[in-house]
Amino acid sequence: MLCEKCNKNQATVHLQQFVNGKKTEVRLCQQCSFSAEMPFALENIFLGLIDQAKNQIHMPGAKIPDCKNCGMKFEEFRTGGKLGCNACYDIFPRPVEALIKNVQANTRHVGKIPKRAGVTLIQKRQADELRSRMNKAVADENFEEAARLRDQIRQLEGANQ
Amino acid sequence: MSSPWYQSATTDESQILSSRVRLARNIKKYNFPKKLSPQDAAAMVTEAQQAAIRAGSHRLFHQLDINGLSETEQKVFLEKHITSPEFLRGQHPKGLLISDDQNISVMLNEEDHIRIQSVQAGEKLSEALELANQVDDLIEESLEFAYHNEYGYLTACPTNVGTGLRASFMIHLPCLDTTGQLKNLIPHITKFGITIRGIYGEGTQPMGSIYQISNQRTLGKSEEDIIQDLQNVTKNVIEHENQARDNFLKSRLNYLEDRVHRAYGILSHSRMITAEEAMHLLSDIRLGYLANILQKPRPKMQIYQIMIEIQPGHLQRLAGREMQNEERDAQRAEKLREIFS
Ligand SMILES: [Zn+2]
Ligand SMILES: [Zn+2]
Repeated sequence: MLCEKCNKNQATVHLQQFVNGKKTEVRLCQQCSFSAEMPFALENIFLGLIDQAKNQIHMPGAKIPDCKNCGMKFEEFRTGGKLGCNACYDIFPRPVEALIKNVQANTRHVGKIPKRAGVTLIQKRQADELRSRMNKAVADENFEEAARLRDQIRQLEGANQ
Repeated sequence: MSSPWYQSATTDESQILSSRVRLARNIKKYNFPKKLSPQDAAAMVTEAQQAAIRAGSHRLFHQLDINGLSETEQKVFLEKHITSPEFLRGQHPKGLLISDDQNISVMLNEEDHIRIQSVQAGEKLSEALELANQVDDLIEESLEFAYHNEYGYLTACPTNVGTGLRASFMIHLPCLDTTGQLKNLIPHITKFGITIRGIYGEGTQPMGSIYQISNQRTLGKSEEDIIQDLQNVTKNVIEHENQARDNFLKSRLNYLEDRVHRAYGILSHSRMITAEEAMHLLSDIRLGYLANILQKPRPKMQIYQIMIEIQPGHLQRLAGREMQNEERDAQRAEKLREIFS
C-alpha cells in the first residue's frame, strides 16, 4: 500500500498514535514517518511485520491458540503489537520470532544479564570463554596454560551444579 | 535541591542538547500491564515502588501521586519528557519516582512494569547508561525480572526485548533542516537500526529543529555496542550539519546574519508569540551562538531551558492557572522579553 501522506512511496511504517485521547492509525513511508510527531517515538507497532510473519508461517486463517496464562489472543497481539505475559513468548513463538528477526540485529541476547536469573548464564558465558582460550592454548602447545584453564572451567561448572 | 539537568550550560555547547537512556524491565511473577488485573497492578506497583525506593535511597527519590496530578502538572512532565503520554493516559494504578536533580525517573506500570529513565545534559550517554544500570541493579536486588535465555529481558512489545535499552540524543539540526538535506540522510541512518524524529511538533513539522535520534534495535547487540553505534551515527549527522553551516557561512552570510538578528529582535520585542514561532526563533538564535554570529547579549538562561519553559504546561504553572491560547501567547512573549532584554 502507498504512503498515506505523500501517496508516492510504499508505506513501510505503521504508526499508531493517540491524539486527544483518540487512537489514530496511519501508514507512512520511511521518509514521511520521520517527520510525523511522536514525542515518545518508542511505541511504533509494526503491524505489517506481524501480518507478514503470520502469512509466512501459518496459513492465513489458521487457528492459533490463546495464551493459557494471560488469555491473550493472537488477533489481539496482531493488532496491538503487545504481549500479555512471559508465557506469550512461547505461545506465539513463530510470529514473535519473525517479528524480532525483522526488527532486531540478531535473535540472541548478548547484553546485560540480571544477576538473579542469570547466575548460571553468566557462569556459562565465562566457561565458554575459558574453553575457547583453552583450545587456543592447546593449539599453541601451551599445555601448562591449558591445564590451568581446564581447572578453572571445572571449578566454574562444578559451582553450577 | 540540586538544579535540574536542563539548566546546565552543557546543553548549549554543541548540537547535542541531552543524552537519555531508558531501560524496560518486567517482574517475572506478574503478567505484563496489558493483561494485569487492577488488583495485581496495585500489588505490582507497590512492590516495585518499594524496590525502587530502596534502590534510590542514596539519591532521594520522590514518589509522586500520579492520580493527584493536575492537567498542568501532567503537561509539565510531558514537556520535560519525564513521562510519556501513554503513561498519563492509563487507568490502572501507576507509580512515578523522580530523583532530586530529575536525572533519574522510574515509571511503574507503563507499557512495561518498570521503565528506568536517565538523562544527562550534553553528550553523556555512557554516564546516563551507568546511572540507569546502577538503579537497575539495585532494584533487581529485591525483585526477579522476566528474563529469557535467548531473548534476554522480556518486554511487552517484542521490539524492545534483549537489552530493553532505548538510548537517544536530543540534537539541534537547524541547517540540515533549512536545506532539507536531513531527509537524504535518513536511509543512511536507518541502515544502522537507528531512527530520527522531530520532537515537540504538533503537526508534521518538527519544532525548533530539535530531533531525537535513537536506537531501534535492542536485541543482539550489547548495551555498549548499541551506544557506540548511536554515537557514531550521530557524530556523522552532526558533521553534515556542520558542513551545511559552513556552506551557509561562506556563501550566504548575509542571509544567516539577518535571520539570527531578526530572531533576536522579535524575541526581545514581540507582544504575542505562539510556541511554534518562538521555537523556530530560538533555534535561529541558538544557531547564531554556535556559529559565532551572535556573541552578546547572552539570554539569561540556556536556550534549551527556554525552549522547555515556554511550552504551554510550564507557562500555566508559572501563571498558576489554565490559560486560553491568546493569553498564553501574551504570557510567552512577556517571558521571552524578560529573558532577552
Ligand atoms: Zn510518504
Ligand atoms: Zn500470555
